[in-house]
Amino acid sequence: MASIRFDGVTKRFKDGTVAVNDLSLDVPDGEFIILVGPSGCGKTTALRMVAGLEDVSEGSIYLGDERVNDVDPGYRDIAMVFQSYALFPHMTVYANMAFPLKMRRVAKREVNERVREAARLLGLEPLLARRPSQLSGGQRQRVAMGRAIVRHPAAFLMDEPLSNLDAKLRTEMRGQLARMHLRLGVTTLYVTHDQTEAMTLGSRIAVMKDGIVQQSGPPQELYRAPRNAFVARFIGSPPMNFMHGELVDDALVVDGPDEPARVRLGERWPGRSGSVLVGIRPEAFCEGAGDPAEDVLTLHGEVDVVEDLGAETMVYFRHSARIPELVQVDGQPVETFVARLEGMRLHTPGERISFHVDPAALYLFDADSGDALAPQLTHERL
Amino acid sequence: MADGEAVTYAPGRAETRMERPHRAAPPFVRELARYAILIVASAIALYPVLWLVAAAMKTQPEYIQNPTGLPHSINFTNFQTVLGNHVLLRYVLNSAIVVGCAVPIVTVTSAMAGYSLARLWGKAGGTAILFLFLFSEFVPIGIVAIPLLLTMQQLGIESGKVRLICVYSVLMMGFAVLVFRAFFRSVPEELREAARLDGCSEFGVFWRIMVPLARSPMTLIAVISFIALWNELFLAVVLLNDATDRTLPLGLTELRGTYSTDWPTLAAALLLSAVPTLVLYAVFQNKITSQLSRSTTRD
Amino acid sequence: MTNVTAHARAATVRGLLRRPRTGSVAKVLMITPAMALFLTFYVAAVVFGIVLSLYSWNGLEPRHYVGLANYRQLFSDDPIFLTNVKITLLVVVACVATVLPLALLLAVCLAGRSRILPVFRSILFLPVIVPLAATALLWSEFFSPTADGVANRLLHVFGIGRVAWLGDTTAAPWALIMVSIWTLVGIHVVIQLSALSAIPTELKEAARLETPSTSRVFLHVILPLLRDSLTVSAALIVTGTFVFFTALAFIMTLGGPDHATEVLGLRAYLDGFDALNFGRASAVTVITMLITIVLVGFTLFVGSRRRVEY
Repeated sequence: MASIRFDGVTKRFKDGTVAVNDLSLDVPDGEFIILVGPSGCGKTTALRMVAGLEDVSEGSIYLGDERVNDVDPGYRDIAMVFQSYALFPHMTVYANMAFPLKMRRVAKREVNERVREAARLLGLEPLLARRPSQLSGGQRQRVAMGRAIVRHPAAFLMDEPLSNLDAKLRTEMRGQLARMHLRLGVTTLYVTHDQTEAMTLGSRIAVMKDGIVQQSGPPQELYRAPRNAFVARFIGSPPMNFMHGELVDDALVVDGPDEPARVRLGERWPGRSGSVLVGIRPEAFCEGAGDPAEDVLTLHGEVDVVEDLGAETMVYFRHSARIPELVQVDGQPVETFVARLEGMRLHTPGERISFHVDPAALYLFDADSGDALAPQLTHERL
Repeated sequence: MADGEAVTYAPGRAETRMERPHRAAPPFVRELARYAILIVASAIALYPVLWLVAAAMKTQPEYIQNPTGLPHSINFTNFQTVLGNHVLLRYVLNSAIVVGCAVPIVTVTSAMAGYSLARLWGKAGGTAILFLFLFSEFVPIGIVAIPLLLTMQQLGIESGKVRLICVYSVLMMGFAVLVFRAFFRSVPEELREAARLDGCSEFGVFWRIMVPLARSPMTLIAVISFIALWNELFLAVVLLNDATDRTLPLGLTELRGTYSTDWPTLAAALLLSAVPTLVLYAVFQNKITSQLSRSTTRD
Repeated sequence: MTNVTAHARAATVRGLLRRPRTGSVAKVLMITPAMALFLTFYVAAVVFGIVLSLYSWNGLEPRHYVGLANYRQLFSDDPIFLTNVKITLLVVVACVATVLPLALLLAVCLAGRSRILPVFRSILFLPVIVPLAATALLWSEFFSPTADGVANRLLHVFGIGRVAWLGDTTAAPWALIMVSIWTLVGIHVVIQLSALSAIPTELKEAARLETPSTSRVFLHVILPLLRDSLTVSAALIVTGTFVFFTALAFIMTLGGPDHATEVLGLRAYLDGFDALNFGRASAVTVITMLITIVLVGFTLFVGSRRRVEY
């Protein structure tokens, strides 16, 4: 087993695009690290460089203690699970899993042992004689995993292996991946664009955007203490709400329907005045206008859409505070805020509604760079 | 996953026989071999054509002296001689008429047939008809040339041009129907269903929706058919009885007698006859080679 | 309420009546023009050929039925016919054995992202576009038996004496085979290239991760995936050679010298136009068809056998 290390790695394509920009990341031996980010952020390119399927423009990649930039992919002792599984259609499941061993001229008996061991681990034994075209998506995924583990490689690379599965299967396979990692303990570098997957699978996550790592750390750390607005918005579902605000003296002022809403920040004050981006997680909203005596941020708005999910209710509401333009879904600007309330709440579209937020739950970001403004508390209350 | 089972996982090299040299066989050697092969093959492919061009630009005595080298100068006199040959021009006209009629016939009838096979016919009828067309791909019409001639005589079709138009239409039909069928199968069924729900008839669906969509394969079939039929020779030999009906390829072979001692002029004639097809090829080559192929950049 | 149900019922009945009818009418109408031409000018010829092979006819007198006499004569009394069959098989096998590997090799060379590769592809496809008349006449001149002939000059460079080429019974068929290969390779290069490009990149990458050896990747992964396209190409080479070579021989050698290049297709033509023996010509045609079917069938059979990799 080995660790994976990126040291100032940059990837520049022939047309000039910089897919990965000065990436330095440590994946210690035995850990499960997830690279996550929107499509085009460079995570897959980074993964492929570790595999050797892409050349490194600058910097070094280390597997264990060895610099592997120039080592042929076949010699790196890593296994990769592709997004589309890349199973050889003309071979049976057995042959697919035996392929890595056959290529290394392993004795037939040992090949048989190892393939059957992997098949047992993944519940593939009844399928060994079938061909990929006769398998379901989930079964194919398991075969791809089987092919990866049969070699007992030093590290796993996974390129969005779950994205081609339907939602239910995905949840199930997530669990299986987690269990496999527990049992086998192989160093894994995992790439996905799905932040839920990232949050649940990894012991550490690295969020990437435009080739640069925005922040890396345990999932909870990224959730509670995002280093910039991008990470804050990327992690968490439903995503964090954003609005423009002004820091005046030591208070935050936000536009309101009749008059601005205002809250004193006290220790939360970042030490400067001016425009800021305010971030509020959906679960931070409490129903009701809030006691004016307690210093809370009260927002009055109008209900847009209500989603009753049984155990919780999502209330989408409009508010006169200005939402930054860069907050978008699918290219369209977002026009509502979302609050997550426990249980079943009866609200109707068009209804006037009020929420209040504890200033401790507010996230403040620089209006230009998006960087988080100190100090951030750890929000134990959440 | 089988829970509770002991797993002996001992990561490490699975075998001991692999050394660790760095990049195997430098890619530059591979690239060199690749281009060497391609250059040799291209030279072999191209040389005869270039030789023909060179020959066409030489005079007869020049050619006898120097058959393989470059011409003295770029000399178009042979081309002019050829263009002044009225007999040849009549052949060109014949070819143009015959091919000009056959190509639209093939394109349209095959498109209709291909569409109906793709979407309208069921398993029983569809497979039988398909089999017929497939059969014609594997027993090409050229093989039954003699019986074809006799059929023509039996049917009383005397006109050489009509004979060729009919036969040429059938020559490309098998291939065209298969291409169209494959294409129309790739058009989602929902388009047709939506149109039918809106009250469109089956014919309407074909003319208004499918044909506009099929512009690409139709152009392709038209171009390929044109090239193949313009160059077609054997069936013309068999089926034509009147010298005035001769198509161009046939006419050119007859010219062998007239220009038997004058290869450069004959070469010029051959080149000129190839012009329409070469032009079409140059314009449509990407489409042609990518119908037979997907984009190479996928590698 | 009753108005609605009555209306609905009427609409359903109308719908049921309308749907199957227009569907089946349309499909028949659409296929008719193509089918009419096809049946008249292909199927009819095939059938007529089979029928006529059982008769004796010289085009003028009425024909009379002779049963299998034509066939019997061909197989027992006709030494030239055996030559015809032999040379046909030789040509087909030689072409398949050469064109297929060559096309595959060139396709592998052409697979890549470099922008110059499409240029090579176009050049290699060029011989396909050159009109058959031009090809035949050009190569005829090329293979001129005089010492000045281009081919002989090339031989001279290698120190070999001149060859009579098209006038030589051993050399003539091989000369024509060379021309056939020169012309046909382009098509199959394109076919194999397309099949090659259709292999998902991820499969190639997955294989690369297991072995650095490109030849092993080719042997175990790429070649099996090309089996279908290679089979189709092989079948097309078989049929293509039948037709192409016949036309080529017709122009360049007219079956000579001494029947050395007289393939079956040409034999049928000569029987018909020279000997005016249409019955026998038809018999030759039928035999040709049968041989084609057998060869193509064999090719497809060999190509579709699935080898279970265990």
